[in-house]
Parts: sequence; structure tokens; C-alpha cells
Amino acid sequence: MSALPPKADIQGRVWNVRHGPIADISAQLFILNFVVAVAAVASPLEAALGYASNVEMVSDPDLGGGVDSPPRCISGDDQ
Amino acid sequence: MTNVMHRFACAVAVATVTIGLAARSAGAAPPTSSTSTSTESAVLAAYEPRTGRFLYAVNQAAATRGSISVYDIGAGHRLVKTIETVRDVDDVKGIAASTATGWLYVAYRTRSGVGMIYCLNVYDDAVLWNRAIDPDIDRLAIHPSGELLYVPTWEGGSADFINVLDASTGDVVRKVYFSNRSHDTLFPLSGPLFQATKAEDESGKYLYLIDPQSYAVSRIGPYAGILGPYAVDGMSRYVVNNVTDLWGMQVADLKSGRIVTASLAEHPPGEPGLLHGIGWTPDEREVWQSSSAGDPHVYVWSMRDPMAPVLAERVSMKSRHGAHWLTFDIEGNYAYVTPNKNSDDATEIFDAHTHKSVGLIGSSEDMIEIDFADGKVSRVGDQYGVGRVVRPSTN
Repeated sequence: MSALPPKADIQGRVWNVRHGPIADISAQLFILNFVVAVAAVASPLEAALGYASNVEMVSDPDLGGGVDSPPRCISGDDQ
Repeated sequence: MTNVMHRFACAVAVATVTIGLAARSAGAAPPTSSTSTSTESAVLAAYEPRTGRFLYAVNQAAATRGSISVYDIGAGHRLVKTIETVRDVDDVKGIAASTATGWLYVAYRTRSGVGMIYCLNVYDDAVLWNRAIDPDIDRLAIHPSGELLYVPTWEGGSADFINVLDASTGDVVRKVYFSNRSHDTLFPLSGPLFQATKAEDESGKYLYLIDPQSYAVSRIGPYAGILGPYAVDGMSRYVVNNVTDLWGMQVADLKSGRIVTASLAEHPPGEPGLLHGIGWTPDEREVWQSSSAGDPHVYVWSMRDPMAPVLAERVSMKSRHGAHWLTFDIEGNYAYVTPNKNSDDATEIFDAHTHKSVGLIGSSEDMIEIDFADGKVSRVGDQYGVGRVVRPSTN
């Protein structure tokens, strides 16, 4: 099976391409590269395990917690 | 929060924590035996291990509770000495030891319900410190460096954190918050820190993983019920879990997040309760699971496919009562199956390969192997039956 989408999908897609000044495009590329670089940083758990894990992060005390203060929840849905 | 933002937050946290750790390390005093402050230790036998494999077992029978009996594993588990330690031990909760320092730690509760830890220097059997830990203690773990202890705040308590202690003094250096009624803590060979809780607010249905550098907390679950004891394989990929009201076990794949249930066919009359002891054989071919309090059997699972365990054998214990814990020697030759909590029944030794009973030692469920080479601690085992197969990463 081809990895490419069917031709009908390609023809029917609405391409959201912005044509702007070269400076704008450079800025966008910089931001894109930054986002990709950040995404490549393993989570603390992944770094500890040595592999990518589907386990859910709950909180990170170093974003606000200490010896005497509870952590600030960073995933925040049900904790 | 999106995954990218989540990771960005983690990246910032890692940088912050790295600086914090460096500062803490710079200020931490190295462990030294010159900090001895207690005279409570009295060595009954002058035997000083030089070379060999020894099982340090904290006695839990009423008459000897809290003392440590030392058995020579290579000499048929011959009792070589019993170390008197501290007074007023009512309930032994856990044991840990460090190769780096040669210090052994026992968490216990007193008759008046105070959570305590004592630290024993295995080189001279002196109790270095013995102190109350606020608010309480439970089955503790130690960082491989020997510098930090991770101490849950008791399954019957309400505190929503665990304590991180300076292992040289017992001082609290940090609290990590996530769930209440923290119970069993484990630092397996490949890390990170694992923690189960008995929380009844649904958070007890998750197993927690704590990064020992950033203290970021992750969790896997929900399981079928509140978790009991568990054990982790050598690569920290698979966890086997006892689960309340499950007659069998659940296995979690930490990579995929998937949890499967391996059920046993039948259970004694009444509710299943909580099967308690569980552990991987060091070669990870099997998981042994002790039964409930009234069932004198051990269930041995074949773990050829960790996510599809197959019951291989039901092993009978000499005791007519149940078992509460089990663990193995480092080489995987022996399984130690303990009697019920604070029972006077013996701890039974099985050949881990043939599954045959080979002997009995005094009642203990808090045991750890300590090996000596030329008078120095060369390696320590674990109170848990942890997997010991460590392969190079293939990711």
C-alpha cells in the first residue's frame, strides 16, 4: 500500500499556503524549528525509562512545589 | 495541554532541576560512619562477613520482632548471627540497603503507632540512627547512590505525599505530592521510583512513577481496583500488580500503557480479597504470586509473553496458613515466601527452579540479600522480587 493519500484527496485538499515576505517566512521557520526542538525533548519519565512511554504525566513539583508546598498540576484534568 | 506544550514545560523543569540538584549535591555531606549516635545495638554473635552471600531478615515473630537474623545463603541458609537493633518494634514495614554505604534501613511502627526508621551499619552492626519520621512510614526504597531514601507516609494515613530523606541523617529533604495513603515504594534496577497507594478516592487505582531527578509524577491506570504490592522487571517495561478483589493479577506495559488481567480459576469461599506477595524471578521467566491470608499456596506464572501470563504451577506451602510477601535471592536460586503479617510461622525457602521446598528460616517478610567480597559490600538485593534482566535499549 502506498504511503501517499489517494489522488482524490490530494486534488480536493485546500492548501493553506501563505505567500509573504522572506523575513516572515524566516521567522515562521525559526518558530517551527523551535517547536520541533522542544517536542524532541523527552519527558522526565521517558528520560528515566529510556524509552517513549504512553504513561500519563500528572504533575511536576519543580514547577511550583517544594518541601512544604503541593505541586502545581500541569496536566490538570482530574488531579 | 498539548503534548508540545507539555514537553516544553518539562524542558524548563529539567533545566531548573539540574541546577537545583547540583546545588543540593554540593551541599550534601557524604555518608560517613563517624555519625554514629546510638548505643542501642548489641551484636549477639561476633561473626563478621568477609566474603559470601547473606540474607538479612528482620524478624517479625513476637519474641524477636525488629532484630535481624543473618543467614549464609551459600551454606544452606545457616543462621550466622542475630543482631539486636532497637526496642518497641510493633510492625516491620520495609527494608532497604546500599552497596555504596553498607548501611541498611528498616522502617517500622512502634506499639504507640509512631513511624520510625533505623539505620544499621552492616560493617559493625551498629545502629547509626533511629528516629521518628513525620507523619509516618511504610515500605521504603533507596536511591542507587545510597544518598536518598523514599519513604511513603503509610497506607493508613491521610498525607498526600511521600517523604524524601537524606539517607545519612534521616532528615526530610523533600516531599512529593500526588496521592494519599502511600504504601509500597520500589526503585527497580532501571528506575524510576514507583509508588502504590491505598487511596480510596480512585487515585489508589493508579501506579505512580516518579522521576528521581525532576520529581515529575506520572501514573498508569486505572487498574481494576486499589493496588496491592507489585513488582517491576529489569528494564522497567512490565509491572505485575496485585489488585484488591481480583483473584489473579494485572500486568501493565509501561510503553503502551496497556493493562491486561490474568485471572486464576477459582478462589476460596468469600471475596477474593487481596493476593499480597508478588515477584519476578530474577531471570524474568516466572512471576510468583502468594495467595490470600487463608490459602497456603503460591501461584507461579510463566511470563514467556509478559502480556499473556500462563499459570504454570500451584505450589503448596508447609504452613497451613497463607503468605504475605515473597522475594528471591539475587541469583534466582531461592524464593523466600513469608507467612502472614507478624505471624510466628516460618518463612519458607523454595528452590526457584524446581519449585520444591528446601527449608525454613525464622518468620520474616522484610529481607534483603547483602553480598560481601573481601570484607566489602559488593552488591545488595531487594525486598521486592524484581526482574534482573537488563538489556541494551533497542529504541
